Amino acid sequence: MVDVNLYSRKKRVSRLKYSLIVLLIIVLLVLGSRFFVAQAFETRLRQVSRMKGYLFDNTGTYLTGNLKADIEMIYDKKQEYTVMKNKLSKQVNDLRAHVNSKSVEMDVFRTIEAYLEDENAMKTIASRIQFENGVGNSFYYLIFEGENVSFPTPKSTPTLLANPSVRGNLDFAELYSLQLVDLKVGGHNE
Amino acid sequence: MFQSMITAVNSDEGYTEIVRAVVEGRYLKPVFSVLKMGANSLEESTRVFMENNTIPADEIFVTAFHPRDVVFQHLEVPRVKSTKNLLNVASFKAASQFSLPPDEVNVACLNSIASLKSGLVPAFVITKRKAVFEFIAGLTGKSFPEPNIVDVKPFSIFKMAQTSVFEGNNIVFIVDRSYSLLLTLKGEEIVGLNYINDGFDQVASGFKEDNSLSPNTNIQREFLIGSKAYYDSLIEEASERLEGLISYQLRMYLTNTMSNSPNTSAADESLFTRFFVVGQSSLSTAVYSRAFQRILGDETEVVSMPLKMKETSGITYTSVGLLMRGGEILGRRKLVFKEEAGLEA
Repeated sequence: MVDVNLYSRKKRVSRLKYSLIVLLIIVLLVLGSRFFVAQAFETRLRQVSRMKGYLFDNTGTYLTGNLKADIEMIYDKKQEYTVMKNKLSKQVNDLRAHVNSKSVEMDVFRTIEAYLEDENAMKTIASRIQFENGVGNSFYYLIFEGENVSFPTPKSTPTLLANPSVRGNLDFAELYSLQLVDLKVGGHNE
Repeated sequence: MFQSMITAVNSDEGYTEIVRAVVEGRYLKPVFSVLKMGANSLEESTRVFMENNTIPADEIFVTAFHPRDVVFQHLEVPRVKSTKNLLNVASFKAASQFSLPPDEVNVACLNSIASLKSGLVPAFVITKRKAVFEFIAGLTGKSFPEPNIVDVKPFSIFKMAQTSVFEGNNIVFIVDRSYSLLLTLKGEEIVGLNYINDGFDQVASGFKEDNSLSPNTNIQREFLIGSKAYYDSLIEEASERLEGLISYQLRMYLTNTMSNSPNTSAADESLFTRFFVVGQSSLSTAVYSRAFQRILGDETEVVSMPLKMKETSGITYTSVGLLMRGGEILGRRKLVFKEEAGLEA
């Protein structure tokens, strides 16, 4: 049966009920979305915090949850540590060069010390020890018992080639002999 | 605040009924009804209704135009594809008949667009647009909102009919206080109709002084909303009186309806073997059924029109139909009228 309507001009009025329900759904969707995004971010934050916890502890940084601020903070921190790394690398290189130069000197003096502790001699008297331009010089006396002198030898193998030269032997009160040695260490590779 | 409500105004000559119902799930529950009789029934019932109700502007408001203010007419129209085109063509034809501009004529088709393919000449309700606007202005002037639906009485009654019984060819007689409508149906399509200027007023008015009734009984009111269960003797007496009044005329109306319709002829009368009768209540339905059974019983099966709801709800059938039409606006197509004890003024 067909319905009759002689007046169909009334505009459909949106009922307050439906408007409120739609509004409520929109608000719930927005809040729900924010909640889920916040939860996801927080979960990820906790994961990152666990992974990077040591780093954060030692750099005195922490994440705030504000994505933009956190990204800026981490970027600044990275820049700061890059500058620091470059600075320390330069210092390390300087120190390495310094240590290298000092190690040659140490080897020279270690060789001189080895010669000075000659096991055949009763006594060793160093008259002069000097180090200049990677070359060490020592002038020392060796006192032997009687006339039994020997050519100066180090008790251990020297690390640098030593060049000892005996300047002279001298009898001393018939019981002892005195040997005068001029020792040059290093500078052979130059 | 958040419940959908429907208000229906059923105004007629000599009575006005205003009903308000709430939509709860699939059910329509009447929560208020007022029925006033007399010449000033619209004003009185409106006053009582407004004292007890506040209608928001967005509430579903349904009312019905009186059939005396419209013209029922079959119009031959070319085959069209849409209802809009059908109404445009019908407006033009109707306007030319009444020597009016097409935009001053309001038409509504009583047949489905699908039925036109079978060669049926559709029936239209034709009225002046000005008359509809004046009717609406009369209601809005009484603080009612702009109506969602302005139906034409008494077609809303079909909303509560069990339409499955309309298989085949049937005659339907609908009676109200001041008019009757005789319809011939093929299936659910109206093939002929005849507006009759007499209602049950002429029958009911004869019982004012009847000593068998309670002194305070308003028999006019009972014909509108009364139950047949309490008035066996009245039904018998009224139907006998009605038989005397309408016996000859009914056959004439039937013949006229058949012969005046381009879809039927007087010879088709024998094809319409079932005669459904419906009034505004179970009482008025029973009176007319009984009378018509006596008049036509030999040749035709006369029965009360089967309804989807209980026969007695304290509301006129037209108003129930209007409420159900209002319910359809909310998209709940399977609304069932659920009778509950509502507040009645």
